[in-house]
Amino acid sequence: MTRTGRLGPALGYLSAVAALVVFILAAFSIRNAVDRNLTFQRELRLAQVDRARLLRFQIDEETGVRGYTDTRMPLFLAPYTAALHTFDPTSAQLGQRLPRLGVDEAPLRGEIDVNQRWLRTVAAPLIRNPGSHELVATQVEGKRLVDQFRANDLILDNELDVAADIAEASTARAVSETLIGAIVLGVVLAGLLTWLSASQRRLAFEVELQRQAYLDEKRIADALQEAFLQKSLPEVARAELHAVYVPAGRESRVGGDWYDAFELSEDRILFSIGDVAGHGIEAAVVMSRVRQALLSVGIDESDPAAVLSRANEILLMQDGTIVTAICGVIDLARGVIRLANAGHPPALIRLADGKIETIGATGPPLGALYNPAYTVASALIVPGSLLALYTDGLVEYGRDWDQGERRLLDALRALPADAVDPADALMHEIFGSEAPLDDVAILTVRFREGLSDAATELAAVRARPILSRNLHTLLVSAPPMLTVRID
Amino acid sequence: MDPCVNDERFQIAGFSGEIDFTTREELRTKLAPLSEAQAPIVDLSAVTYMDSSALAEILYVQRGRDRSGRTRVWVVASPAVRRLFEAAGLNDVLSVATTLDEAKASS
Repeated sequence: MTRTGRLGPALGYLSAVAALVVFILAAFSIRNAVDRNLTFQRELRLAQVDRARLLRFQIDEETGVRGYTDTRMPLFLAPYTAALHTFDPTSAQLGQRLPRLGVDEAPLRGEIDVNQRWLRTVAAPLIRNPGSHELVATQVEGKRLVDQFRANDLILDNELDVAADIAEASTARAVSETLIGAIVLGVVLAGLLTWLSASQRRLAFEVELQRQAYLDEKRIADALQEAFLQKSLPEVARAELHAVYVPAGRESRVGGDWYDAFELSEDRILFSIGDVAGHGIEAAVVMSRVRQALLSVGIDESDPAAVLSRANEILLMQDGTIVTAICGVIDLARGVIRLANAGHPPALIRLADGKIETIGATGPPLGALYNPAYTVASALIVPGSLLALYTDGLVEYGRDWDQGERRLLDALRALPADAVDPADALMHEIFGSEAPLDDVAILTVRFREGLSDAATELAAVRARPILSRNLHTLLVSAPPMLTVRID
Repeated sequence: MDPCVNDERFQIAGFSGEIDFTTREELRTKLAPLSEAQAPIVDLSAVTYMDSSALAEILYVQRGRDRSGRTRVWVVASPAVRRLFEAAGLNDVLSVATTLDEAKASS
């Protein structure tokens, strides 16, 4: 469609130029034909004049000789002498014209031959001996030759007329053929132009329709997304929450990414982040259902694994699509993060010294299985550390997961400890001014000083925030996930 | 994408290159016969990239089979696909094989 779109105007211009060229060529061609005909007709007229003069010369010569033989007065020989001098140049001139006109030279050659024979066998003897006893016989011979001359002249005259007719007819034909050709070509080109411009308009109309349909869908999906995005994150004393949501650079993709954080009590924050497979309104609707399920179950259920299991059941009941998500609770009083993971990229913690840990919890995506097993992983909160949750758009850099994860880890490590908005800083660190390939949601939680005594004590005992199973029965830490390297 | 192959008792749907939301309809069409097949195999050994919507289509088939008590779908996974499965915690959901022969032998 795009190709035709670009080809259309080009063909249109080409047709217009071609039409112009055709008409200019036709005009020149007609002018040339008419010119050629004019030249031909002029040449023909001159040939006719030459032919007439040759006949007159022959008659003049004959009349002169006859007058002389009758009167014996040299006076009568004057036209004969004059014609004698002009016959040859004129016949030579006509001899040159005839081939140019395409007329047979045989009659002319006949005339020249007859004229010479007449000079030799009639004129010369009569002038030499006007009173000859053979006078009558010679005069009869002269009459015969002059008749032959006239016969040749008639043929030549006729041939010149025929040539004139042919030339005129061929000129007329050339002109009309050129005109018809030009008109036909012009009509074809005009038709082509009309067709092109019509198809161009149709194309533009279709593109506009598609664009409108897309814009409508995008507007609805954007409105849903906007409505779903949490306007304000919980504000608590000992933690700072930040979040960003950046839609995909590719226009047609409105995704099903989300983040949520709610204050359950003064010290407890329920959070989730997730990604619905697919895009558009359908994904946005599924997203709203899953979030609602996670929130309504999460308010009463303190076990994140159970929350995910319930959400999975709800999703399966509605035969929805596949959703990856992390759901968890930040307990600031106990200084503990507990979370469960349904096929989502792992949560990361950046320590104050720049080290990065993953909170390893595994489980299948929501909506994939009937009885999935989710595990709960926990991490101890230490002051100055940063919890980072994100959707896979953040690591889907150029479709190379390894590279994407490296970039994420590098960016997280390089993040300034005092960044005003760590989520935004992380986004900027990874994508700069580029738009991501897929939607990206990031939720960060920065833990401040002034945590509970228990948490501070534990943190003092262990330099690392990840608890192993034997430290606390409540806190279960699965091994770090294979997909993220820990330096 | 490669055509569906019905190799004796196996119903095989093979894919190659990048499969993502843009190829979703094709994916859906090719995977449809697998939901009631005797020994379904999804051959992803030539897949270089796969996104979550493509994954969702395969899981959808598996889900349907689970519900009706049918055997699992065997998936032949390239290293890239295997990574995705691990990241998405799917190793317990799908039966993953390295080669088509392995998948046939196991199903």
